Amino acid sequence: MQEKAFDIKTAARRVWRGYKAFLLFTPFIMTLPLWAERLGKAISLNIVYLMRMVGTFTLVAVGLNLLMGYAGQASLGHGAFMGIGAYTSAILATRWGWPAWIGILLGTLVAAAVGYLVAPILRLRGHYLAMATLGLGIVAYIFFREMIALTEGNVGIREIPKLNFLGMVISSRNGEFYFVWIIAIIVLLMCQNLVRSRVGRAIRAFHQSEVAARVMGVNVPSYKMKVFVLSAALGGLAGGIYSHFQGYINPSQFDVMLSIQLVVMVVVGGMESIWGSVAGASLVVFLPSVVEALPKWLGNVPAWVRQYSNYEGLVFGAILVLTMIFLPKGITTSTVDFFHRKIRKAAALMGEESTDSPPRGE
Amino acid sequence: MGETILSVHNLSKAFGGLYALKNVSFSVERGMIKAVIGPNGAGKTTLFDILTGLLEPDEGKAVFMGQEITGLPAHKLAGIGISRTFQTVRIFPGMTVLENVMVGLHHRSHCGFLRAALKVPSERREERYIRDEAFRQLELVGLEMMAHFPAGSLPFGMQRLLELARALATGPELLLLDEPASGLNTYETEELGEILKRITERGVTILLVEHDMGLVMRISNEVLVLDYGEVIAEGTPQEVKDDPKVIEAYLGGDDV
Amino acid sequence: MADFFSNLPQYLVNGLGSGCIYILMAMGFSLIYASTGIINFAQGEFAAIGALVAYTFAVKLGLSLPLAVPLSVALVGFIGLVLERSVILPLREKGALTAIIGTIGASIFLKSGARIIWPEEAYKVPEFTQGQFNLPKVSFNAQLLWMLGLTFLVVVSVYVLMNRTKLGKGLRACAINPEAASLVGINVSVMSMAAFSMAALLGGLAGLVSAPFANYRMGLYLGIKGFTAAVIGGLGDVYGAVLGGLTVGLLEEVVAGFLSVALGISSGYKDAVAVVLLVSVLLFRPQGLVGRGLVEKV
Repeated sequence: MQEKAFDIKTAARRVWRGYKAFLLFTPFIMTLPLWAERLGKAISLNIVYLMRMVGTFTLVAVGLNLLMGYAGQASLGHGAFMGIGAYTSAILATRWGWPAWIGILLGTLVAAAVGYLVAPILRLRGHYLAMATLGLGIVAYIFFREMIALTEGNVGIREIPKLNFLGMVISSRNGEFYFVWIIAIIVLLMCQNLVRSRVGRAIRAFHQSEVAARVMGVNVPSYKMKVFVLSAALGGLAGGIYSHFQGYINPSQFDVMLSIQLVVMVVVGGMESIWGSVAGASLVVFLPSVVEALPKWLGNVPAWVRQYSNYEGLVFGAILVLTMIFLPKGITTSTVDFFHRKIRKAAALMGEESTDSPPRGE
Repeated sequence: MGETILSVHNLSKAFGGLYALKNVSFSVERGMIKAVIGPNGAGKTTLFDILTGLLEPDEGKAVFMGQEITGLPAHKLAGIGISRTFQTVRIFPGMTVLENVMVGLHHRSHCGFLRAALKVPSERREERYIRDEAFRQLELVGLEMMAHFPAGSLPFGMQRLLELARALATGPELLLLDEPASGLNTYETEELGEILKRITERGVTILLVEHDMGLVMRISNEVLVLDYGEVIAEGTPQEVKDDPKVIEAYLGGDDV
Repeated sequence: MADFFSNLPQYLVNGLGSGCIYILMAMGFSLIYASTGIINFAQGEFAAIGALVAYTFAVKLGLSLPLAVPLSVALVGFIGLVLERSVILPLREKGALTAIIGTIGASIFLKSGARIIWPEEAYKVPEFTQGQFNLPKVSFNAQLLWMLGLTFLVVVSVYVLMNRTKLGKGLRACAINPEAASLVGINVSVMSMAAFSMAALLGGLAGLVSAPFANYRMGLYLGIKGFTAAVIGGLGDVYGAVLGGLTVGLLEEVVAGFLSVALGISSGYKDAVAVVLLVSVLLFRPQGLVGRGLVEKV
């Protein structure tokens, strides 16, 4: 067979076709600290610092996108898994001095285990699942607040040590940036592989027609559970990293508002889109800082712009509603669809044969 | 013909006291096309739902190739050789035509989360197999040109064919088709008849619910008539056509 | 343990009070669900705004209560109407996930709006009448009597409205089958508007009678507990809400009392009781404890 012979050109072409976005994005992100410092100074944004947060939230957003965007299962309580990861790692590090990377790993596993324990709620559908996950998020928050012996309650856990990996302390901003983005790119890559595989097709299939997917042999409950556990684990991973970046955590960082922000990342960034999660995380992380920087760009801004943090929720609420009304698939997916339609129309004009039977509705 | 592939024994199913199926028994022999006809609401779709594990019967059982299938979950039935299409088309509209058919190969492949995420060589090999096989099914129904279009953008007739290709991709011994010709024009219906014949030539047995009597008479070897959930006649198309009970059931209803 | 039992009457009285609030909240959820199939995640915000507006009218502007209360409730009803027109109408027929996210967005929007206008941690909403009753084992405020009375009045009026008026018949028809309802000439869009306004009225009332103190954050818990009550009573069953509301109110107080007095566990877990109840009921008896609700899609 011709295919067997290794041909560097076709191999390269195949990699390029399958991983175009990664081949463009990875160099961009890896070189970012080199030029962003200066650019950031010019526009009064601490870009590397913010991108470090984007990387962290990308991890949980991409997991939630697998669950909500691809599998169609709403979770309004995903902040809880971040909290579980964060507390696990923070407690292990501050109480027993465990190395951060082991804490993060264990936090990921604990979040996955909790996800597995609550997975039976995936029997619920639509609104009920949404309300139940919202409720479980609240329960998790209450536990963070009330299990004072473990979590210090509202006081929070202070002086969480910086990251260290195999004896190497990662405390510089750039070091943290690379740490989180190397993980994020690996996770994004794996998630993209996943959604383009047999597993990904099965997940998207039961989202679109559960009955048909079952008849095609997809074990729907089992897949729902696995996607949920995976997204819980990614939440735990993000939370663990987050706690070592911040150095301080308290329950209110993991309340319902965080869960809603995660939903904003997925929904606005783009459902059923791996890169949409990155876009969504960037939007949510950058928006407050951009608004904060506005006075420095424009000189004078109205007083209400300066008090952005007061009405941040107003903006997020409006964004959610408007996105649902005008771009229900989110920014990324809607843009991609738009260009696909253009390309297809162009292709049709170029003289593709029209089909015999006219369209007759859906 | 010989070997019995499916036998149904005294199947009953009621919804809120109303019988959708009442004591239904019949059998299907390998390699034939058997049509199930009857007025609307005669219980045909309920029968299909039970045979594909979407509903559990109140009483009775169905045996497929020597194995009792009633009570098995739907996703297991694809694995033992039963597949179906739906009265109202249930494709996956947001996926491409090819991906739709690839879902049909789900139970014939094995890669789980980890191997898929890491894209190991065995996963790549399996993907290639799934893709080639799916293409073959598309060629069989004549949709290979449309492979990369979103399934939801296809015209209705093609969506029916796509559903058929997807069902075939599971590699069924028995194919249940729920009104495959409804919504098709004459030309498309004729083409469908040809495709169905080609499918049986490959050794696939077909159980068919259909309202288009022309198609039923032309292609089926046997016809089973249901009315109010009960079997009122069974036989060759000609026998059934002349059966006074059948004529009465059809003229008595509003669905001729 | 003995402490717990001697406190029990007090828990029951407290539970009765919060039960009334949950009844009103639950009726709001059920009304909207029955006529539109949507679960309104902004229902809790109606309550918070109702209470805060009442504070502004009664305390800031110094209106007398008989004037301030109806005004506040009416204003919240109007907000419900605006919400329906601006968010629900464009999202109808677009699937559950879209509606969920839409009402979540509206809820965040309302909550932040409330936070801008009422940024403090607690506003004192005046009680309808001052006074406290001290019986041998229990004591309660005069407000409790108002709550009981108003809730009773609301339940009766909703009953009359649903069963004796054309509007009520339209709402019930939409609940059973919206397509058929529109075929016989019922304006489904108007019914959806009516349901949202009424639910907002009920929510606003619930908030304003609920607590001596109000803040912009109170909507979340009132919302999820009211929803729990609605599910227990059978979501979509407006009268099941009565049973559901009382169940949640009483159980919450008794369980929290038991945890803190008998087991020495922090009473901060009180708010988790309703959620645990909610998840258990949804998983094991989705049609509600009375089993007359419209839910079969769970």
